[in-house]
Amino acid sequence: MSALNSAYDIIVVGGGHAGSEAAAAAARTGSKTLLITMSLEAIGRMSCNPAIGGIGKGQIAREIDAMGGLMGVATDVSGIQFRMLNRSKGPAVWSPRAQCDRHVYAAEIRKMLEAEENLFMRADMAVDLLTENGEIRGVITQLGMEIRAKAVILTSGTFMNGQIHIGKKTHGGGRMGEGASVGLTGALLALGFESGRLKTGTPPRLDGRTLDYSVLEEQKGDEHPTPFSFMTNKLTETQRSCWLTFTSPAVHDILRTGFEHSPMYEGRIKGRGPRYCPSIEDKIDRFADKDRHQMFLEPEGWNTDEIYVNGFSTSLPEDVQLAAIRSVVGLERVHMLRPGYAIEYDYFQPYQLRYSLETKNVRGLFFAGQINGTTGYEEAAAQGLIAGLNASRFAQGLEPVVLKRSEAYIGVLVDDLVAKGTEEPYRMFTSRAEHRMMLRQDNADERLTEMAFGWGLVQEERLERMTKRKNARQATAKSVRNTSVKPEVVNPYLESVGTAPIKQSERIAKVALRPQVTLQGILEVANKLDLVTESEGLESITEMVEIDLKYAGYIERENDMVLRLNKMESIRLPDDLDYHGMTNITMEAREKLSRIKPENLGQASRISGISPADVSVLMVMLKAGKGVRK
Amino acid sequence: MQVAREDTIVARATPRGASALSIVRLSGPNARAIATSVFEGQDLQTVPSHTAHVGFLAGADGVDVDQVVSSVFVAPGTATGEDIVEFTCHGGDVASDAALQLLVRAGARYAEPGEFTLRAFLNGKVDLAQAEAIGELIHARSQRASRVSMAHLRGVYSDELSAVRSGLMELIALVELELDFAEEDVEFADRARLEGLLDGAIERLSSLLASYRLGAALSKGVRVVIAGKPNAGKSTLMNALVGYDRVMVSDIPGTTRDEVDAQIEFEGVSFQFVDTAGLRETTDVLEAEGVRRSEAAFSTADLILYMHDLTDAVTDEVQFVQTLKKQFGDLNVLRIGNKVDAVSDVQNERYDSLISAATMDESQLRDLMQLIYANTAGDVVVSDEQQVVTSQRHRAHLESALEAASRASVQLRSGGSGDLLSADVRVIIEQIGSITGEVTNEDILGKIFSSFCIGK
Repeated sequence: MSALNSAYDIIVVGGGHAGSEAAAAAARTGSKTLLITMSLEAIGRMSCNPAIGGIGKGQIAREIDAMGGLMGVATDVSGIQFRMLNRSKGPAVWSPRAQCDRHVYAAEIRKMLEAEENLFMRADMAVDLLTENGEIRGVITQLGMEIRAKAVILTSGTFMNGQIHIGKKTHGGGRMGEGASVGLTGALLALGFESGRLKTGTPPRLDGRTLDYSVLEEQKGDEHPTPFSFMTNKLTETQRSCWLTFTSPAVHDILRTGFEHSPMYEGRIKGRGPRYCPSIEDKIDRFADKDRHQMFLEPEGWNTDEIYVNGFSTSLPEDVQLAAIRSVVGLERVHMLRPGYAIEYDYFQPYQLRYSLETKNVRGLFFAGQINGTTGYEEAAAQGLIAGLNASRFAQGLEPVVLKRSEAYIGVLVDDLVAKGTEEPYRMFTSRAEHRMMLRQDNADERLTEMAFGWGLVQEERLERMTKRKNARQATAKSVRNTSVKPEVVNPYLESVGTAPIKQSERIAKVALRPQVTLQGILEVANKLDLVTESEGLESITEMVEIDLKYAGYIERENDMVLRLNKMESIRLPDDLDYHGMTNITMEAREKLSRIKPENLGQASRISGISPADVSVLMVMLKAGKGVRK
Repeated sequence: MQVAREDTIVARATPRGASALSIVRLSGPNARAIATSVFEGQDLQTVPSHTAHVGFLAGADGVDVDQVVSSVFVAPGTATGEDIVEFTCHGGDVASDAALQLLVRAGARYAEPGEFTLRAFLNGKVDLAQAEAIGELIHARSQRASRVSMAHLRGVYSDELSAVRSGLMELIALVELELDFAEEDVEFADRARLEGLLDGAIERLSSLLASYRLGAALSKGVRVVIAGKPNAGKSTLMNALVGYDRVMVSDIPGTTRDEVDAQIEFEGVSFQFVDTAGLRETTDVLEAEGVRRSEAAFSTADLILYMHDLTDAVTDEVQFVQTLKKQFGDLNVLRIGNKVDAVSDVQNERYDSLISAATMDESQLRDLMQLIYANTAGDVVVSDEQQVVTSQRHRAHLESALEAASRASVQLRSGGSGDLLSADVRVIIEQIGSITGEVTNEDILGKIFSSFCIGK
């Protein structure tokens, strides 16, 4: 074995969504970083849906951008269609989504990585880890190189002992057309880690030339799309449409014929079951009384006819897939470019990690992405960013950064993973966040950019832009609160949207509270658009101010709740607490607490199996240790 | 690092002052050993649990401190879950002070306020809601009040609230699920059922909140301030009240307010009367020194009895009430016309009651008390007395929960977005949980245990 002459601060293993963000974050915060990945051409590749965002995920993508990550920028550059989901519902659940050109996306990621000064790449496969006394020293690669580093981040995605399933056919692979990664799992098991297997599915790809568009429903992008990156000034002027169709009972029947051959179909889900539905098989089962399910036909790029069938993830035998698809309206003569398949891969229960994403077993070794049992590019990228930042801080002897559940969806993600572990692929939903009103997609920069600047993740430019936007918002809110509008001016507008007219002059801010009314509408009809302080970028200041006004009560109540909960977060639990000796909490609680070792009482309270009674006892015992409260 | 509770605590279990007996209580792993070392009699470490033994307490010098009865309780079947030894000494502070000193020298530590109940809680003998009820029970002022606290100890209304909470949690989980699958356009949560649950919650919360008027009266008592010009007959009335059956006179121990001139228990509620006689010598309510003391009295009054001498043609009552209302906001005032037997025609509508304080008999006094009761604690119709809210802490949570429930109901009926509905229902869930003990945080714990006094 030969050793590379250069020494690195950080090694990132795997150049997927997690790996790219990790490598960029590590390099940007001053660490000499090496990205080892099996194929340099596959960096940033989207394995499945060529789209970024969605419910819960769009919020994460914007948070990544707010902290200087790559995902937002790459999406804006490669986006072919932009839509804000859940528009008809409250702003807490508005989630941006974009269809991307998968090749442009990957190229953009690679370009940004190559522009990072401290970052170097190597096409190779890591097969073993170098450790000493429970600390990481580096990795050993397939090509026989021993590369040393202060910290190592594993972001191997679905590649570890990856197995591809289509019906009963199986072959090794980390992604269709790419080999699996072998060796690392064995190395980790030898270091005392426990691993598991997860499965996730992907839908078939169709030849767009064989679709009957005349019977499909067109879905266009938003007229005024919101970008993902807070730095974007311009998005594509044209957008490609997606097409909507539905399955039918006939389709479901055909699919059912293949169930016994489906490795994805887990059987009837009892009770409430896992919320995430990986496949069409499970959907038919779960929502048995629905006789049709939506299918979105999404183009994979600007210049291609390849269509991704969103909503039809499956690993049924290929002939069943084809027969079923051809019974769908508009797809009767479709040609399938590739079948849907399931990928089975190793993962490591994330309760083996600290909140910094460093493993508990090996100092300096970090895990991020699908290896932790998550699914989705956004979830992976978020972990990558955090792991990269914290590995860098570790190498520099600094305390790690942990985002709170009240600060970011990323905080919710990491907390859920580390405190609870996961038995099925974990994806983000807005329902997982208890502070949805505060963690909106529109205020990610206000929440996170300043902190990120302090950590060295973002430059001045981004911080200035955020500050300008924040000031513009506050200035606009103020002027709208101090300006009145006359009845005769605004009543026609009010009546047109179906709300009662006003009898005397009222502050604009007050009129804007009505659900049917938009601030933009009032300002336009009153000819007071000059009250709005503009800012750079495509975000609508007017819309953001409207949210602030309409939901002030809800936002305030949520703030209060956060303050109350923060007190729990501030009660620290020392690392060496002997939980087994605490006879007044349940056995299960003692066991979970010893295994997971939460850092504070708030985290302890979220571990499954810990009841409120246990938490009260813990709280009181901690206080009693120092003397009873008066 | 272990959280250690190896010390044995000791404290007075009965209040200071003259009484037939006083009790000193030990709890902890060394309770029996410490007790034995100062007890001349049976070896307390070997006697069976729940037995009593006569003997003497003696110091190291052999000098007897008192003849006592020691009661031994062996863990874990004890009130605190630890070994407990109680010494019943002769009454008065001298004997019990000496006993305490003896025990501390023998190795026990003075207990902190609420520490016995704290240990009971830590050893799973009581849950938080019960610990809170114990605090209430200790401070109960009447049998009626203590019956309510006992009901709380048994979890009477918190059980029902818990059920409401669980129902809401279940339904809101479904609303959340809908939000997660917004793109699938499915509805999981039965809107009609949610409406029914919310309506039920609003009804329950409202009736519990209404009961607080009675509950607060039961637990804290009702403060009645007697006001009026000099010679309106305030003192006469006060004397009449003092002479009334079952009156307790003089200072009430443990109160932090200013002097109460008389306390009367009526219908299980403790009425504390304050006489403002002597607080002002002129008719000018705003006279300097008088102001400070009357402010204290009026600001804490639940009811003001304004007395007017009917033989006095001049009355400053209207002005008086107006001034008070300006200063203290809305006040509960009863207008009492005194010396009715000395006048011929009286405008009844101006007064809530006409009396002759100097010649009131028992049945007239009872009528007056009934009037006072009806305007304070009795103002509320409570269907089940066990379900009365006595705690200010609970009332605050109930108010927040009710506000949130009303908002949620509006959201639901106007077809509002699931995420706002969910936000409001989560508030209800958190607030109710703070009452039932399913939600705790430091503030709540602090409030519960700080209300205890030493020895409990």
